[in-house]
This record gives sequence, C-alpha cells and structure tokens, in this order.
Amino acid sequence: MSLTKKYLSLTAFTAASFAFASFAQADVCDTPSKLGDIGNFAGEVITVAGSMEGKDEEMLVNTVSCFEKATGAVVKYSGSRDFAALIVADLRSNNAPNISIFPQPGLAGDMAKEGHLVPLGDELASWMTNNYGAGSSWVDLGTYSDASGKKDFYGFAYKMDLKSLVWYSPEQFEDNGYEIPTTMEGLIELSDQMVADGNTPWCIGVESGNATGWTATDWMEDLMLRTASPEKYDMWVSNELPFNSPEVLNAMEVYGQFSRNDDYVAGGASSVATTFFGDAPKGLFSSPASCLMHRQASFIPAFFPKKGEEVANGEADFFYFPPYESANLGNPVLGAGTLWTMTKDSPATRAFFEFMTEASAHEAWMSQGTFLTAHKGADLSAYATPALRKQGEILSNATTFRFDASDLMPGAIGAGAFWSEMTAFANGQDAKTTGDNIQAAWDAIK
Amino acid sequence: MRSLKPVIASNGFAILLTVVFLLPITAIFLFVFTTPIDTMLAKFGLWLHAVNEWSFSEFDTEERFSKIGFAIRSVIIAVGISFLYFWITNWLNMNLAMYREKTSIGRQSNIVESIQPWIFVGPTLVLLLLFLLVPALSTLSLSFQESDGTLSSRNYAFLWDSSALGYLQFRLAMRNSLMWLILVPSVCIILGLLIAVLADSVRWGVIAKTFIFVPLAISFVGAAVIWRNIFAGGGIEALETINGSTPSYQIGLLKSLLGHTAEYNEPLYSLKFWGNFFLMWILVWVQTGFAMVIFSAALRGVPEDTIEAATIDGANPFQMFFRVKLPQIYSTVLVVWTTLVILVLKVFDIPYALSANDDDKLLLATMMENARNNWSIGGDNVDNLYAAIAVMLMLTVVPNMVFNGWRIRREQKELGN
Amino acid sequence: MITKSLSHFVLGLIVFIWIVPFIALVSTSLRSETEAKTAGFWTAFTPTELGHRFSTHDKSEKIEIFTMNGNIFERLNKDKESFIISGEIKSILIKQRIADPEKPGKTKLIRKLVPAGEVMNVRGGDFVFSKNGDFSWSFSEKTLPKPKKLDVFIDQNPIFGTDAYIEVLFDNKNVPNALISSFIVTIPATIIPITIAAFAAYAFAWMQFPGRDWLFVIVVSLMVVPTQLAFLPILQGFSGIASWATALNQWVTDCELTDSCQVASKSFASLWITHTAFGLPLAIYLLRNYIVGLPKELLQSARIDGASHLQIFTRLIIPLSVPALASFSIFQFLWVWNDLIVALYIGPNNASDLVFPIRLQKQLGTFKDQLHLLNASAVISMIVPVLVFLSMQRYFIRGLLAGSVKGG
Repeated sequence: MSLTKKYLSLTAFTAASFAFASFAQADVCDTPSKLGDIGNFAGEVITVAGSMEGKDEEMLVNTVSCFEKATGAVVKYSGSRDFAALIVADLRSNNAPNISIFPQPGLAGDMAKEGHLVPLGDELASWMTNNYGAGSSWVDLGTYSDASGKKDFYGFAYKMDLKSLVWYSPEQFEDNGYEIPTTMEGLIELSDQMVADGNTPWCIGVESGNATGWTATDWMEDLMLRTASPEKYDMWVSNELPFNSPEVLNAMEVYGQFSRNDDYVAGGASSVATTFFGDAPKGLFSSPASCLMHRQASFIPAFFPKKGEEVANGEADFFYFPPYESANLGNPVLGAGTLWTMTKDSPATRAFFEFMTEASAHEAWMSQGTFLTAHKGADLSAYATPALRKQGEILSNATTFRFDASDLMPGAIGAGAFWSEMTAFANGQDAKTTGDNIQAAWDAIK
Repeated sequence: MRSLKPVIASNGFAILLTVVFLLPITAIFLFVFTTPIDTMLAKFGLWLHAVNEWSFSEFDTEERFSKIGFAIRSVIIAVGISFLYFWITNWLNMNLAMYREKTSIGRQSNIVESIQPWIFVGPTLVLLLLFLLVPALSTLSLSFQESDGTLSSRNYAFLWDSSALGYLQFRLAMRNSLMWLILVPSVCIILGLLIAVLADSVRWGVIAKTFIFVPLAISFVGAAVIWRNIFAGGGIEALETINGSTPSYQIGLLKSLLGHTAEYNEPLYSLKFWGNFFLMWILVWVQTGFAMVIFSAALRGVPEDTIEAATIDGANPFQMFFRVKLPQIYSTVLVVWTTLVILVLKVFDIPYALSANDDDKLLLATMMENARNNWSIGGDNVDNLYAAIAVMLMLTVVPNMVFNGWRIRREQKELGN
Repeated sequence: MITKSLSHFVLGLIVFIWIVPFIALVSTSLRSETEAKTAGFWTAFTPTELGHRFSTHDKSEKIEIFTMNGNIFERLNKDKESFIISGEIKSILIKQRIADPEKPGKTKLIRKLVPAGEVMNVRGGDFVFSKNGDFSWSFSEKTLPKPKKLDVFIDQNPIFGTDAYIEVLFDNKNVPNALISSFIVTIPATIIPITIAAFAAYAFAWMQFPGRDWLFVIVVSLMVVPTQLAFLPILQGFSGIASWATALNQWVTDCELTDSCQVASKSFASLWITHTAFGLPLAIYLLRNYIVGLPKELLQSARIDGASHLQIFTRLIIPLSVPALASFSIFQFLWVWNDLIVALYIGPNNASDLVFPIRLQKQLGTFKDQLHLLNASAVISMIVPVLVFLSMQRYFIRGLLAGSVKGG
C-alpha cells in the first residue's frame, strides 16, 4: 500500500474508533432534536458555580458534556449547599466564576444591583419570550436592575421545578378504596374519610436546618393561588397586599386546617415543625404506612426510601393539587427554577448560553431524570419517565404559572421571617400574629 | 556617644526589606524549580500501578501521585521558608550589628537586642494585623454606617429600641450567652482538673484520657449528631400499636430512660429554657478534653521537689492538690478559662446542626449567623446589622481581657521584668 | 487505699458517661438505615420487634396453583446482600374492609394482628404462617393470585453490617483525594503556626520591648474575632496577591506557552496562611503562659553565661516546652482537620482538591437524616485525629526540670 493510502486508512480507522468511542458515551447527548453548530472553543475553560449536589450534579455534568463535546471547551462545575454565601463572597472579591446558577431570583437581583452580573442581551430575552411557554413571565423573572437602576435581562431559566403535586401510594388507595380527587373540596372530603377509617391522611414536615419552614410557605403559596387571583398573588409578593390582609390570612388558615389538625397529620400537629422535609414522605412507604398523601414539589422522589424507584415501579404516583371548584380560578400551578447568569464574560461562556437555547440541551437533561422545562421546542418524548411527562404536561396545561413567592420576596422575608413565622404558626401561633410579625419584618426593611 | 537609634532603625529597615523581597522570590523560585518532581513522582506512581495492578484508572493514579508530589514539595518549601525567615533575620541582625559597630561589643549587643524582639514577633504582628485586626476594625466601622456609607447608630437600635429588628432576640441571646459563659467553662475546668489528676494516679490513665479527649476530635457537627442519639426522639414514625400489643420505640436514650413514648417526638434540647442545658452539656462533653489535656501537661510541669516536700510533710491527696499543685498551675487555669469563654462565645455550630434554632436557644453567635443568613439578602443594611451584632459579641470579651491584662502586668512584675 | 479505689470509681464513672455516646455512635453506624431510625441503638444488641413488609411472590410467577408455600424470611431477604433478617415471626398485620355495624351500607376499615397458626383470608385464599416463617396460602380452586404485600412483625435478631462505611468511603472515588487534600492542608497549617507562635511567645515572655504587654493583650483578644468577619477582606487580599503573582509568573517563566500562568487566589497556600493567622492567638496565649512558668533562674544563668536570646530559645526553651508544643499542635491539627468553613471559602474548589469534611458534607448532602451514614462518617473523621493524639501522648512526659532548679 502506498504511504498515502496507509495514512488515509489510518485516519479512517482513527476517526471510526473515535466515533465509536463517542457513540458509546453519547447516550445522553443523542437527543431527538439535533444540536446546532455553536462553534469551536477548544481548550477554553468555563467555570460554573451552583448549589446542585449529588444526583443533580451528576446530571448537570452529563448534560454539560454535550456542550464540551460539541465545542471542545472544558466546563468545571463546583457545587455547594452554601452557594448563597459563597457566591456573594466570591463575587465581591474578584473570584467570580464564568457562570453562576442562582436557585433564587432574589439573590441574583441583589448581585445584579451590585454590578456583578453581565447582561445577557435583548436577543436572548426575546428568544425566551417566543420559545418558552409563558415566556414573558420567565423573562421577567430574570430581569433585574443594575447599580444605576437600569433593567436588563440577566437570568436564563433552565431546569424547573413543579410544586403543586400531591404524592400518594396507589396500592394504599386501592386497598382502602379511595379515588383521586379533582377538586379541593373533594380532597378535604377524602382527608376526612381517611380519618374516619382510622388512617392518617397527610405527612407534613417543615424542618430544614436554617431553612426550616419553607415547605409550609409552599403550602400557603399553592393555597394562595387557589383562594385568590394571580394579580393578588403578585401584589402579595411585592407587599402591595400586606401580609396581614384578609386574603393572606385566609390562605394561612386553610393551611392550618391541614397541618394543625392532629388527626390529619402523621405524628400529630406538633411534629410538623421538627420533621425533616426529606423524611416526611417516607411515611407513605413505611410498614405500616403512617400517612397516605404528601403535598410536595417534583424533586421529592429523590428522598423516597428507594430514591425515586417507587415512581418507576408504580409504588408511588402523584396527582395535581386541585383547585377549588367553587373559586373559578382555573388551574394554577406553583413552581420554581434555577437562573443561570453570566458572572464573567468570555466567548466560550456566551456560546454556552447559546447552547442552552437549543432543544437538544433540554432533552439531554430531560432524559436523565428530574428536569422539567418550558421550552416549547423540546420533544416531550425525551422525558425520562411517564411521570415526568405527566408533570411536563401539568406545566403546559396550567392556566396560571407563578414562581414560588418566598423565592421572589427579599431574603429578609422570603428566606427569613416568612419561614420562621410559618414554623411558629405550625407550632400553634395564631394566624393574625403570624401575619403581623411578617408584615412588621417587611416594614422594617422598607 | 552617638545615639544608637538611627543604626537600629536602619538595620531594622534593611532586614525588613530583605524579608519582604527575598523570601517571596525565593519561595516562587524554589517552587518553579522543583516542578519536575511532580512528573517524576507521577512516573513512580504509574510504575507502582503497573506492578501492583491497581484497579482505578491510570489517569487517577497519575493525578494522585503528582498531587502528592506537589503536596510534599509545597509543604517542604512552606515550612522551609518559615524557618528561613528566622534564620536569615537573625543572621542579618547579628552581622549587620557587627558590621556597623565594629568596636564596641556592648553597643553591638544593644543593637541586636533592640531589633530581635521585633524579629520574633514580626510575623505574628503582620499576620494578625492583616487577618484579624483589620477585619475587626472594618467591621466596627461598618457597624456605624448605613448601607450607603453615611454614619449612623441605627444598627445598634436593637439595644434600646423595642420595635427594632433584633430587640427581643438580643435580650434572649444575652441571657443565654451569659448562662453558657458561666456554666460551660466552669464545668469543663472542674471536670478537666479532676480527670487530669485522677488519670495520673491510675494505671489505665492513658486510656481514660483518650476517651475524654476523643470528642474534641469530632467536629461540632459530628458531636451534635452523636447526641441526637441520646436526646432526640423521632425518625420514622413508630410502629402502630394495636391494643398495646406492639411496642413503639423511642430512639433517644435519655428520652427512653425518662419514659417518653415514641409519639413524644420533641428532642430534649427543644424544651423551653431547660433545653439550653442539654445543648450546653454537648459543648462540655466536647471541650472538657481540651481543659484536661492542658491541665495534664501543666501538672506534669509542677516541680518534682515541691511535691516531694509536701509528701514528706504528710499531705493527703486533697491537700496535695489544693495547696501544692493547684496554686502552681493557677495561671494555666486562667488561660484555659479565658480560652473556653471565648470559644463559648463563638460557637454556633451545635445549635445549628441540631436545628435548635428557635429564639429561646439563641446565642450571640447564632444571632449573628441568623442576621446574615435569614434576615439578609435584600434588606439593604444587612451587612451593617451583622457588623453591629458582631461588635457586641466581641465586646463581651472585654472584661475578661482586662482581667487578663492586669494579671499579666502583675506576673511580669513578679518576674522582675 | 480508699482513695485509690475511689479514684478508680470516680474516673470510671466519668469515662462511662463519656463513652455512652460512642457506643451509640458506633452501633448506629453498623446498622441498616431502617433499623437505625426505628429503634434506639441500645436495642441493637438484643432481639427486638420490628416491622417489615414482604410480598408473597413475584409478579413473574405464572403457574396456577391450589396452594402456595413459601418462607417469609426468604421473601424478605430475596435481594439483600447484607442485614439479613432473621428471628421469630410474631404476627402479621391485616387490613380489611368489613361492613360497618354502626353505619349500615358503609364499610369500615379494621386492622388485626394475626398470630402464628391462625388462618386469615387474603385475596380469597387461606393464609397461615408459622413462627419460623413458613407460610402456606391455599385456595379452593386453581388460581393465580396477585402478589400481596403484607406487614409482618418480627422479633428480629441483632444484625450488623458495614454498609454505611462502604457507602461513605467507597461509593465516591473522590474520598481518597479528599483525604490526601486534608493532609496537605493540615500538616503545614500545624507546623507553621507553632513555629511562629513559639518565637512570639518567647518574646512576650522573656524579652523586653516597648508596648510588649499591651501588644500581648491585643494579640490574645483577637481570639474573639469570629472568623466569618475576615473572609471577605482575606479573599480580596489573596485575589490581589494572586494577580501580582500571575504577573510575576508571566515575567519570570515561559508559562504563556502552556497557558498556565494563572495563579489561583484560592489555593492550598492561602489556606495555610489563613489557618496560621487564625490559630496564632490561642497558640501564643498557651505557649507564653507555659514559658513564663519555666524557672526564671534558667534564663538568668544562661544570660550570665553569655547566651543570646536565640540560643536560649533554641537550645533551652524549645526542648523544655515540648509538652506545651505537643498540646497545642494537637489542637491546631484537630481544628484544621475538621474545619469546613475556612476551606470552603478560601480553599481550592475544584473537585479533586476538596478537603475531607467538605467531601463528607457533599456526600451526606441533603440526606442529613440518614443516621447510619452520619454516624459512620463521624467515626471515619475521628480516626485520624485520635491516632495523632495517641502518638503525641508520649510527649506529655514530666518535664526535664526534675530536680534541675534548686542547685541541681
């Protein structure tokens, strides 16, 4: 064989084996939608900081590897539970990563105000408006004022969470002859029936270390969306509607009907404040089951005894936390999401944001697990499980979508007074005092 | 006679310059020069890998060994530079003095003696200034500002204004902190002394001391986890009881001994007011080892002949301890007491790890953390409020330090300094 | 003699109180997750009644039968590799809907605990079991029943396993890296402060210089400064140094070729310096106190002999201070080894350089209630410091002063 032919066949062989090797790895990146050309950034390094750890971190790294493969760049992710404190210190001391993933828009807004975030640009904002379900609300979520007061688009929502779900064990329901309620009135009736049968309807746990109380706030927000209009919800978030106004106190009381009722809650009402949120759902699966329903966001299967396998093998399922039939407020849905921001500019980083607009990037994570998206172009069949697809559909069938209120309020309230006062409420403090205290906290920071 | 002052000053300055320039450059040079060691060690690691057929990847082995190489040489260089500092400065000191005062040895030693203390305390002063003093002072100034920089004392409003954020919490935190400050160090010291003395007199003393010491080796978070097994109830709901035929379990030992059933979920440290004492006990359990170790060393330092003399005089063990040993380690007791007091002030991990976060259990340190985490992110003068609480915390140590200062002056006078 | 046995007794009592939590710790770490959370650790050593759920047969079995025979323990232990359940079956919980006597037309849920030997109706067949777990399920006609999940209460024999340790140590390949990183951080962060503190302590004890006592009180007072206050200024400082060092790097070496000029501001070196600074006040306080306690006559006779301060320090004081130096180095080692916060803020944050406490925290992540894992990781992180303590024990010997003072 001539030298040229040898060289050619060698190249072909190498190319084939490389393709073979990458094929074996490419499961995640082999998505229904094809990835467009983002460019070549061989050798560039992008640093990413976020709060995701464990399984979430694994999935993030896998998804991001698709970007690395396509562009040749290297992405280094470092995740930490203490992200909120760390990122503030890093941004203020010139140690900014390229990308910071904020779990809360509030903190992102604060960092934007201090001038640490890089605007993503109007093009990206209008892309999102057109390509995300309820896109303009998502753009609003990521828009903050900078140091001079000018508003810009900084936070790209990627990876969302659905909160208005009630988890249950189908077998328990079958054994007892219960049916899924489609209205709130039906849900309350079902809870009473369960009590009459000697069962305990609900598992509720709000303990979470420094963040104790956040599950109670989620309950209340879901109930707020079901008892008051979305406009009232927005006014509540910005404190135009005071925390001790009748609408808010009403939502709190309804929550109290669930969590402060000793018969309703496994372990009694007094256990709510000391039960770790990740432990509460385990009652659905204990032997014998200590409760039959658990209202919680879509991430909770990771805390089930079999780490979520129960959903796959039918031991656990969920239904939509229903609205009041009599209230005529449609199908409201409460959710949250992470906001990806650029904290140190570089061409490779910009390319990464372009990558996040591709349907393929969403499908890559969808196929791995707990990931939901509002990207209209993402192929629903890419969802890893029927359960996730069902959640994705709830997300798209919602008539109202609102972000978790405590994440939108200033930290002093949303990550402070709201949490602690709701914990006190769970422990017996009356609604009026709770509302007054939180309102006082609002007034103090105005 | 020419004044020595200019000579001292200029010598000192020369030494300072040398240190500031020579040491970092030497460090960097050494560091760069020894880089090949990493690759050499990586090759060594790969050889070991091949010989022993290790299961993890070659890349991992390479990475680990070159990291070990990096570690070894960094450690050697870092430690070496520290020693080099003292050696070079002393050498320079002596020789510069000799060079500049060739004639009088008395003047030489005068120069050397004037500069030398500063060489000894130099690194300490510089490090502490930069890392602790400057931040402390900037915190102080931050506490008297609004977020935009204007001077105000609004952040301290929680001291006198009952409607201010933190008013109630501060009172609770002070009450609790004082309780902790008085009880924890005293109990630690009494137990520490007792154990140090007893352990010295029995053959299994080392084993005993090891067990008392071990809690120190666990981080505060770990200690909290351990005491949960004793103080806390809860976990998965207890088994159903039907006609009392199936037992239900309490998983906290003390709760079980006290007869709490499994339904009584609340941990003992959540009890109003009395819960504080359970939390305190955890800290005592951890820190007694510290007191014990120090007292053990101190007791060993008590001069043998004073003990012999007392034995000859017929002292019993109690008299031996209280009249002979204790007075001689009195200053050590003071040191341990001061250290424990400061530590108690700073600890916030224990209540935090146990989620005993309610106001009733507040301490100054936890209040500080709350101010930053819970009240923060959004309120505009959060950093300033945090600073104010931090200042209050630091001020509480003033009485202790005044006492220390007085004692040290007296000590130095006794020594004839 | 009374005092001797009294000593033994009192010391023994104290040690016992100290040990009980450790028994809790170690025993919980050797249990399975459900056991750790259902019953207290002291029940782990004797047979205890615990509840489990088993299913009668697999869905995949497709043979129609009259009677199915099996063993409850086999069903429970089917896929288990560890924590094999064994013991005596006490009862099975059965839930049934029966006609409500008080509300005609409605059904009521009843729960019954069925003991061994008694027949109960499960899915239309007769189910009976015996104490050793054998059960039989018979039907009047040949049927293929759906698998039924039953709650069974077992007087379970003690069983231990090292699963928790394996999960903590080996499920994550980063653990060996983390241990190496911890040593890299801890050893210099112990040696350097001791060196600097020893010199300073000597100076504060026996040297004369203006403002000495005031400076000493300030140094010690700085112990009270909470470390969190210092993070931001420290980070900014290191950031500045790092950019200066990067520039120097570019100027001196050829790093631009390999694009490795960037000197990280958050690195092991920043940790060493930071831990040194934080550890100095306590170190100086302890050491100075000790040095002051040494006989003044030593210093005086050495000075008369013409020794310089440096010589006195290195030849006389250091050897005599070994117990104090040893004490302090243990504490400093412990503090740095267990430290999480400083490493998190100021240390390197790439995955392979994280220190052990951070690695543990990430592993436990949000599963902070997995008692068996928490306890196992506490045990693991304890081992190294305890070994250090034991090896330093021999330095706590009686000082070399014995008899050396009065005319010795």
